Amino acid sequence: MAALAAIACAVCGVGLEESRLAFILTTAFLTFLPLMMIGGTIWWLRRRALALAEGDQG
Amino acid sequence: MVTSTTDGVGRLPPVPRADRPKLVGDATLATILFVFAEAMLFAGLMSAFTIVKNSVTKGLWPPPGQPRLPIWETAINTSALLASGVVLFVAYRAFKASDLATATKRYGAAVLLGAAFVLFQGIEWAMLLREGLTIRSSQLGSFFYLIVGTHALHVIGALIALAIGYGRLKKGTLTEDYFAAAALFWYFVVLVWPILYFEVYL
Repeated sequence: MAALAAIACAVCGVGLEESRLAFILTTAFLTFLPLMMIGGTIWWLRRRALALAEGDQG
Repeated sequence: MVTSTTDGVGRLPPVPRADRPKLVGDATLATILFVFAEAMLFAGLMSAFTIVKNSVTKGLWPPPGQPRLPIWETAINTSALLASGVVLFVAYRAFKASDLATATKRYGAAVLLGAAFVLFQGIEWAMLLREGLTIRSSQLGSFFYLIVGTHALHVIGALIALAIGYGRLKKGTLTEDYFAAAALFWYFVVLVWPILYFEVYL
């Protein structure tokens, strides 16, 4: 009973390699996701602006 | 009268702000910003879930004594949601091509598929609650209802926006900007779901 209760604790597993890797991967994910979204929007807006400019000239 | 003579160095005179074509509609731009915020919300929830799942000793996830999530039933439900996204895309293309009859049919089908997804999710929740998976029964239960519930709220919100658009489409007052904004929000809830499904159910 005592062992199961200890294992059920969320904090008792932080020493695991999987846990360490999960921290690193999610940190990278949360860091790069907003940058990718902003970058993607700028790229898309630039493409639209160029298409509009070409339409005006054509 | 607008003249197009160049200035001394060969440049065209600047186009007045009011005459410039818009890069993106107001509703679409607002929805893009909203989707960014919501994407970060789901990213945060999924990150927390991933860390908790990987912090548990091997063999203890899913938690013993808790009901297993219905993988196959939800997979079928997922295909209905994905199909609604495809059908709405076809409706948008028909709308842009001024084929309003096709657009109305496809649009209605997309809304129905989305509503079916929410309905089956509700049935699944009722079954899981009966089997003992509650928000307080385990970490799996807490994250399941938090993540899947947040997504369900977004689906319902997007369905309301789509239903308003459908009414406007039938009346002939739907603008391309509104359609694009509602469709963008719908694509977001459709595309984020498979990621949640793989993360939470599998």
